[in-house]
Amino acid sequence: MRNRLTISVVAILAAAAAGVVNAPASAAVTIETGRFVWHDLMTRDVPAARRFYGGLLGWQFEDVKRGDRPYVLARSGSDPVAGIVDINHYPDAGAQWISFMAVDDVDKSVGVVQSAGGKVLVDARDLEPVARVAVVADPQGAPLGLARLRKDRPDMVKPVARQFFWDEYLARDAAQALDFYKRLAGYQSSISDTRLGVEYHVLQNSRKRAGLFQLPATATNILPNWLPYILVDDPQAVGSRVSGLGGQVILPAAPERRNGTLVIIKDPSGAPLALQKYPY
Amino acid sequence: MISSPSPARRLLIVALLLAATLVSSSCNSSGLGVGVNAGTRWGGSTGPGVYVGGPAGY
Repeated sequence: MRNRLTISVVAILAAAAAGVVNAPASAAVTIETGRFVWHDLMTRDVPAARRFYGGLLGWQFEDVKRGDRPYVLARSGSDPVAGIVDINHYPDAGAQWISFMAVDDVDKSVGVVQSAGGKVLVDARDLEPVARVAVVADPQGAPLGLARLRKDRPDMVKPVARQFFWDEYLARDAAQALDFYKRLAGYQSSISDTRLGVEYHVLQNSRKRAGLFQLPATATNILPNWLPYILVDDPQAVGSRVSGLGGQVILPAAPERRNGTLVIIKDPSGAPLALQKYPY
Repeated sequence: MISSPSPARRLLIVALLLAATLVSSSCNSSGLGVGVNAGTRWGGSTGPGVYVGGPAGY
């Protein structure tokens, strides 16, 4: 009786484990197009990034591989939240967080980008057993990852502290960007704020997924890009630790900016990132 | 005195360890890790100055 029970347990565990590991490539789950599903940091200094994000947000890190290249998986608690990629093999690469947007068909979406005047930075490819992905530069040059994941990730109903929860597009031409992202992701848009003469557009499908606004003409140092947001309880307190960890605050908390709940920083390698309290 | 586990129990322990290893390695399947030269999009050391709106929908 005990032997039979043991064999059954072994069989169930083996089947369960095999099912998890050997999911066929065609078994990609359906994730709503336009949802941001992952963020990878491109950096020239992985050890500094680990120290910075570990010290600032309490993330922990695990060395893994993607293909034959090293990859660092960051966790907040037990939740995988981000990845870190060493880009030293690109002689002139800049540090940047890359936001990955879910799409139904990576290859078709790459075609949409190209037909709108964007460029392919990384050709569509399978990352078994994780996803099919590509990285593109949109018509305004902003880098963006496109992904069809093989396995779903939680679509947070409530944002979780020390995790990504929003992405925001800083446009040189907001009208063009709105048109493009509506075509690419099927978003609808609404304007949530018009103070200071700036229209803040919220992009949504079944849920609100991202923000978009036009950079002021004076912001000549910033090129169009997707800026990812991490939820923090006290942006000012977190921001005060940034320089001690090797980063830089480039937009401090101020009452006129979302009641002092937003801090924009650069990490030690120069990748920009927003720290935001929510609600604000 | 510690008695050695029965063969069935040993088999169960091995199976549990195997399953834990496989499930753990599958957890590593989170993350994408595509390296890319995305250039530098934020030059200088200042933000865009005006900042309205913000995250919504939660």
